[in-house]
Amino acid sequence: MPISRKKKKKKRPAPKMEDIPLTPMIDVVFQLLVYFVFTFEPIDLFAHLQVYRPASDKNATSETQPEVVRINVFPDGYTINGRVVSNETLLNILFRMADLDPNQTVIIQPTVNSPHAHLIELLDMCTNAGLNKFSIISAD
Amino acid sequence: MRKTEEVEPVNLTPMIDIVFQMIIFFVTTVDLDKDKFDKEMVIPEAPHTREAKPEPSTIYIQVKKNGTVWIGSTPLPNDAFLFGMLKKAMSIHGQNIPVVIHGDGRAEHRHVRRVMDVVAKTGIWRINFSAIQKKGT
Repeated sequence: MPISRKKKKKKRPAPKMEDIPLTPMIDVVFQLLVYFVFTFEPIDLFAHLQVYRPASDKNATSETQPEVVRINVFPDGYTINGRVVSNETLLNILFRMADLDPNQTVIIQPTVNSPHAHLIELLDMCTNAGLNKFSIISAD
Repeated sequence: MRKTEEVEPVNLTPMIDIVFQMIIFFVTTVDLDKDKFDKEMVIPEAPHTREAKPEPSTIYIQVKKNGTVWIGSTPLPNDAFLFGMLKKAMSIHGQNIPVVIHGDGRAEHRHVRRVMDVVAKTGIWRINFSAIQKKGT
């Protein structure tokens, strides 16, 4: 058997590039390609909204200045300095505030049972208006 | 007769080139970060904000709908545990490490507040809330 093989080989010319079997490689490559195409999933882009968290000091609340803007977040809406406002009104007020002073600190006081989404919505509204300083304090 | 036997082999090189290019594209664009968070969480959207710049050594704290606090895929048993973890991270990276609170929009504020209090107690001052700036389509 080996002799006959040798004979065969001798008869043949040197192997050309085309003789390499490409089929398995292409199979594998296609498998990989199909895998990556199917597992590809567009991702959500995240934003990080920076807030300040003043230390929970019981005496600190009495020192608040009158010109401070305080927004309360309730499960069903917002109040600004104690006045109940709709989202549109609040956004208008925030735009006017930002026109006066974009570095105005907004004190946000969410109630414990308000959903977190409301707070983010408010932060988004403030950012939309151009305000960029938020302090979050907690209502007891 | 001889001519029909010698079929010219199809030149596969350009196709393989392109296929490899595509594979490299998909391998390099795959974002493993997307598995960092629980897919069940509903993160509120904030379309008017700027996209977050990823920073090294950011601590992501997840607050789920029912108020449980997770870091990565590990639920934290209590606030003291979180405090200890943050203190340890602070001792390695300093006080300026950013903390991102990745809260479910349906979670009540009391849970987020608890986490904020723990973070503030450690002395870390960079507290951020995570929100979706732009949804992947």
